[in-house]
Amino acid sequence: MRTIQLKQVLSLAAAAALVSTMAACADASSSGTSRAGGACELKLGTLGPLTGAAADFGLSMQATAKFVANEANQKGGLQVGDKKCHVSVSSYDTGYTSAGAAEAANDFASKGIKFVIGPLGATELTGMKPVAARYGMLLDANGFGRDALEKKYPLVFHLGPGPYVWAGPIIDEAAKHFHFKNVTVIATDDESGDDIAIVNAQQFKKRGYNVTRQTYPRGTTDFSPIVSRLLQTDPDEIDFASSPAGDVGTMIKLLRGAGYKGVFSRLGGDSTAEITKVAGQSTMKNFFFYAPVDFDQPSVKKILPTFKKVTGMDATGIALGWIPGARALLDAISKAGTIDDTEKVAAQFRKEDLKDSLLGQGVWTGKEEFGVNQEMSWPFNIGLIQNGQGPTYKQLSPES
Amino acid sequence: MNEIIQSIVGGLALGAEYALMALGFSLVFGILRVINFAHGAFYVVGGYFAYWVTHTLGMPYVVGVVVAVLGTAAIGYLFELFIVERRVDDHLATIVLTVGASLIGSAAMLALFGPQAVQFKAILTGSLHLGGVYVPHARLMTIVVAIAAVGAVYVLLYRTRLGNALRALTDDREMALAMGMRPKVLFPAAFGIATGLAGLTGALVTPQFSLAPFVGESVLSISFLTVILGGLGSLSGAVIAAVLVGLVQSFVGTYIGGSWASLILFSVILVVLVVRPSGLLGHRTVNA
Repeated sequence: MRTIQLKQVLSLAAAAALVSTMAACADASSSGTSRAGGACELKLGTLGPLTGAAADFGLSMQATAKFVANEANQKGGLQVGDKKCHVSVSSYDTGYTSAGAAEAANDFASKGIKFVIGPLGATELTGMKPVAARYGMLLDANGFGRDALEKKYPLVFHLGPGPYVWAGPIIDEAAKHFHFKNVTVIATDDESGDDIAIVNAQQFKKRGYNVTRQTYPRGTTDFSPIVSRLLQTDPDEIDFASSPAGDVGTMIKLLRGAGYKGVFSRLGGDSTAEITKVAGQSTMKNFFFYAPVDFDQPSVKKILPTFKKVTGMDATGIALGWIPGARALLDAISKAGTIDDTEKVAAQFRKEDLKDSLLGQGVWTGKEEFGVNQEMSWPFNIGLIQNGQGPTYKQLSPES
Repeated sequence: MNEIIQSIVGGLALGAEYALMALGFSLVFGILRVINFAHGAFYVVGGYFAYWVTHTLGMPYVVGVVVAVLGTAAIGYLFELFIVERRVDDHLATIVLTVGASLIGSAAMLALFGPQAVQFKAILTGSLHLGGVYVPHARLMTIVVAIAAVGAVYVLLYRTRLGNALRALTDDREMALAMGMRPKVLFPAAFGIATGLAGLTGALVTPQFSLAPFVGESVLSISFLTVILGGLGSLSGAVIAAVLVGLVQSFVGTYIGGSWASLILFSVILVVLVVRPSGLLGHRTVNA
């Protein structure tokens, strides 16, 4: 008779452990947003670049999801029908790519996730929409792309407005603080960069500025040639649109080193803290940006310690700006009384009164730009760094 | 005219950075016949060593650079000695091992320092302005260090007993072994020198740009490209190719636009490789 060796016993034990782990995983994934063991669990998906030059965006999105989930759980769970549902968050690192976002949709589907906070970039949203639609997922997205919302994707909503809403008023306000005439708008040469840069360039042109467009490939680390080309256009205002924060900080550092004395702006997602970290506060000198929230407001200051405690990171403007839209989604789920029927939740979501303690009264917009009224438009601010001091904020409205 | 001079200066600065990276990459392939896909990760680790010494421990930048070189060299030495050496003649295995090391290195930095860029202040700020041409002081330093490093590696390989032994092992390993040379001592040393060069580049360059766990990926790809163009294993080829790549990127970036740089660079490389499949100086130096 063959003697069973210790090695074989260990191999069998390892195989058994692997099989039981896989079975446990399969069980967990099938629970998704439904009930496991009689308990109610709502799993929110969130996605974005969690590493790399644009990590600030993805981590902020993840933090927003964690924050609103925690808020609901602090109240004993989200009331859905006659049940209190525990809200959990599942994250996915997309690498800021379309393919990564499509993979995330498949990953979420395998976990039974039906509600997603994100994605955040135009490229990601383009990649995710068709896959998410196949699984009936509801996306509470951010992408600033020109076709972010479409009639054929009725389950896609916008957490906040894009640059066609706020870029114009911010430029008008900036003109009161800084003098500039020649503007160069630079962004990555993919959809996430291009769509925002085109809108920004149009807004500057509409106001009589001389505008030049420049692009660079995402993933660039050495910006010296790009900086040389930027200087050739002889600008006195350089707008970085939605370029990743790490890239913007690096370019600012190099441009100041090359003797550029003009103004900078960032009319894209707010990542001022990260940009300042890379470039240095004094190097920023004169800088204006789209700021979803005013950090000096008491309602914002009050939330900061809890935000840090719950998410493990300092609050960013974009993360705070997304909170009301994410809260509105949870409220719609609660009122619809279902964590499975995304169409029913979407119908309720469209009826939500967008009033939030953090940003004030929002309105549903998007009809004019996208043909569907599924964009949450909240009050916004211009952020100003002047002579290296600040930032200070001023609230603006689309009509200002 | 100023723009042309500016592009040349910018291209040389880029070329110096690429040369530093490509030198180590080429050294490892030339001597061990191993394509080190962890080279970019060593660049990142070098950057973080320098950052940690200067910003966390508060020591002078020069100390940070020295620690970066020694730290990455030591890690590279041990990695070759205990891991790569066991499979050094199996090309597929070494590719997997070095790719794995790259992932581990970047993930370790991610765990230790977080996913976002750290605030690594450049020690040398300001620029040298000559007419309409500007050269940041930090880039001048990179050029000077790159020239010194190329010189040092040349002296090491062609003017020392260690260099003679390394080249002998490359040319005819069996004969070198018969002559009493010991690859188990020499290969880790060569690997350590190469990773030390990557660490040096990281310590010099990341304060000028940004330092985050995955910035080494693009650096690796440009190093790989440079050594392929120069001829795998050819040190002089790597240096010439690095300068060429830097100049192409600089001129295209300045006159045509950043988005075109990769297209034109790869087209140039394609043409060169069609004409000379072994790269600019591949054949001559590999078999030197």
